[in-house]
Amino acid sequence: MNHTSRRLMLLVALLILGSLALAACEPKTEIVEKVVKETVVEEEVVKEAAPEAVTEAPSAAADAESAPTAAPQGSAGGAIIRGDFADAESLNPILFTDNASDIVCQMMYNALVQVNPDDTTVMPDLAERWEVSDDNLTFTYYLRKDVTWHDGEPFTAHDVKFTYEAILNPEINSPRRADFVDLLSPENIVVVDDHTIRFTLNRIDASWLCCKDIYGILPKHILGDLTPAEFNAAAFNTSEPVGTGPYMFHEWVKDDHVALVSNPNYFDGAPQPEYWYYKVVENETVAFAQLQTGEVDYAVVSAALWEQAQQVEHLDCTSYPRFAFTFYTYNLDPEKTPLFLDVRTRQALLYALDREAMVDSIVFGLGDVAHSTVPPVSWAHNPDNEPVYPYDPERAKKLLDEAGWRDEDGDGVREAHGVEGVTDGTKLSFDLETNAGNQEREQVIQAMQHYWAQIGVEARTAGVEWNALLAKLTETFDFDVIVVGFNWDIDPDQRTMWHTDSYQAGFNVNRYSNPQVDEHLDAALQTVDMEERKVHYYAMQRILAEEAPSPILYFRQGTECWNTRLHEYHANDINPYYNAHEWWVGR
Amino acid sequence: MGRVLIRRLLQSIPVFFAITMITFGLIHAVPGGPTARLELDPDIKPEDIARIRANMGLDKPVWLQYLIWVGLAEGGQGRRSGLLQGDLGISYIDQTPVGRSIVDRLPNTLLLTATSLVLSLLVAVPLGVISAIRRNSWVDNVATVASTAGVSIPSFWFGLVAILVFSVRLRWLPSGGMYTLGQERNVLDLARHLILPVAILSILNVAGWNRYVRGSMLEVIRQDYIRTARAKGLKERYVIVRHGLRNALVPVTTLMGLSLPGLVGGALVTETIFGWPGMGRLAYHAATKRDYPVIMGVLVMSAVLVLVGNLLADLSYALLDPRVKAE
Repeated sequence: MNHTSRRLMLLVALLILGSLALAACEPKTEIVEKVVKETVVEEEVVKEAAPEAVTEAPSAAADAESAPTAAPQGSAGGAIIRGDFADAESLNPILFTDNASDIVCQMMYNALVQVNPDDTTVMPDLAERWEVSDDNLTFTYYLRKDVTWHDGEPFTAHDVKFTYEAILNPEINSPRRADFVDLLSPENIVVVDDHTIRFTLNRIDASWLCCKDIYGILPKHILGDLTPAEFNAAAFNTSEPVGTGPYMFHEWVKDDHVALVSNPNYFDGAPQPEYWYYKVVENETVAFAQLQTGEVDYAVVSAALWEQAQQVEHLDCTSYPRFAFTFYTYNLDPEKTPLFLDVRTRQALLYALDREAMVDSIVFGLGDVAHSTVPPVSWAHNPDNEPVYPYDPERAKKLLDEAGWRDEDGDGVREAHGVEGVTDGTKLSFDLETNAGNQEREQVIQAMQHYWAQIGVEARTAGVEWNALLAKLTETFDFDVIVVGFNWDIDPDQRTMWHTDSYQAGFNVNRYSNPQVDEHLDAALQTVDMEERKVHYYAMQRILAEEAPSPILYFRQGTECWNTRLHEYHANDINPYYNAHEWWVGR
Repeated sequence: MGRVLIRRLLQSIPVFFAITMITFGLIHAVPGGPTARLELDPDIKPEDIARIRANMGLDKPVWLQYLIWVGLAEGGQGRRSGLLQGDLGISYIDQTPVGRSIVDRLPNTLLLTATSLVLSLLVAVPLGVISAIRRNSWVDNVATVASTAGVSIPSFWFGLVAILVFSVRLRWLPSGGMYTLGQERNVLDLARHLILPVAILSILNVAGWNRYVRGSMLEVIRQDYIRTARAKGLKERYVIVRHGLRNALVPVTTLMGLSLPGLVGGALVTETIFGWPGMGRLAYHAATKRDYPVIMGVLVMSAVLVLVGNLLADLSYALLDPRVKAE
């Protein structure tokens, strides 16, 4: 190698390195770093509990309200593109279990009723009106007469009966059967006439009206003759779905997009855009890039990109309350650990957490510190619930002293001195776990460890692989404290977490048991009267705040952006589809 | 030749079944399953999950599930159809026949990987040859540094930077997908969508292959027969292409044969960043959701291709290298 070429090589190497460094300095590449951090998409523990309420509001009021802004003159055509992170799994509304399928099905199907996004009450969909018998057991629905399926066949009460019979059929793979099987028998679904149907329940179920009559209705004339095995694998589910909704199936290119086309005969008026697309994008970073380029019209934007998103000129952004929450649970099973049996210990640990600061720094302020187990967006939420737990480390220390946790050996960690059920000398030291890879929760356990260390409590943090954590929560119950997140359903029934019967059968993972709470939970399900139910849920919220068995740290907020060319879209966590037929796009 | 071919094919059969058996056992041994994602949904009761598992036949012992998959035992709901009947089964997640999913994705992936392969070869081979014959020249040095950078910088980084620069900032090219949604599909639109993913995929290929070509070429031009060719007074270009390149390409061909499964298996990272609906993402999503029939379907295809790829590499050896033919 001669001298000239060696020098040349050095020069070239420097040039390339230099240009790489320059590229890294460009302002836009900041995103890249965030990108890399954000690519681990938050693991949704629970499927969105958003109701299966199906699309558009037929109510006259909704129409009248939106009349002035909607219906652009002579601009029929165009397309609305929704960006999201997972592909759909099934387009059959009684078979799917995932969010993506729900979003697509909402555009294609209607249910008997739907949930009003403003106040979570029930409003008409395929049923114009309904009656509830005095004993709260019989629900009679009067159906619209002007509804046709996408193939032109008329919609009747027989389709409704067929759909619910399919859910009840054990050989059909509906994941909802257990919700219905002891509540409803096929012979109690009665077609009174073509446009009237009556359900008689075996027992009172307060959540029937909001949450069990909101499954998309299937066409009997297409699926009625199939065997269960054929039904489970029908072409209908993936390539030939037929509904009654504002958009009709066009095509589904797996892992790329689902395309729907405007239903010209929709009973509340044909949507103006010709197409609606569900587009699969890999993560929030790519979604945000596509919002910026206009390749996507609306999508969820992650908290980390939120500030940046609001500065993009052609995007409208909104944050809204959700039913999703992040909480931690103390193991209360004396066979597993005695550390948290004294209520004062549990309260003290909660007082020690500066949850406002956690929300600000970990989820960029896009969350609400919880003062109750019922989310503020629910009608059953008690705004004056007590006690609240503001950040108060002095009070926390005092409570721990009272309970018998004192640091007498001076090692910085409190040990038991007469704590009930705990051998003297046992340190207040335990495992604090969450699912590995979820950055938000990993930051949460680090913050908790820090706050608890300041009051002389030692928490050993660990990220646990998802399936292993799942086993701890549902099979072995071997844990001290675990941080995870769930999503409540629209109905305020919270049996699954607090009722004694839900240990091992539901999500009462820490073996909490309080007969009073059980009573309120049971009683609240024995009536459909909202005011009566409220009384029970308020009482329950109070007891749970007092006892703090599994404190909710905060409720998450949803963050969404959409292109300003998209009109009449109202982002929310309850039922954003109620007016899907009215969405339109400008040029 | 024909006998060798038949012998090799027959040898492949037990290898193939051993591969499927081992993989089938392994994927079932991994924690979780197709219904695991339902387990933490408070809306879905454990009895529903158990019922659905039974309907799918997931409650049967693994060896029996394997026999069902192969088609030697009767499966759920009286169905007897499996690999031996040419049936790859039905997805546990979206209930689509696995064969159809693969047929849907394969053209997309081939379009991406084959375009990139051709492009990469067109760049990598000449570049490698020039690097070799002008060793230590500036071309060679630039190629060396660029290749090292190309191989060491992860493609997801390249991809995201490319999206930020060419899509978000300059607005020249779409950032993902195969077609612009809401528009008539045409070849031009597809081509525009191809540019970024092909470019990113090719950077990696060129970076790797031009090194092989260069190395192989350097080896060859030291050989006696090259000197002989030159001594005969042949033109330099004739010497390099006819005598040099042809021999230098023999080991490169092996590499190509071995990369055949990758051609079809897809480029997961590139497909993921650019939202390309190809085989890589099919396999990846099937793996994360434990969609056993789809995982096995992709595996069967890859296994066949690995076997075929090796065979093709051996055959093309014979075409390029007369010594092999003689044996």
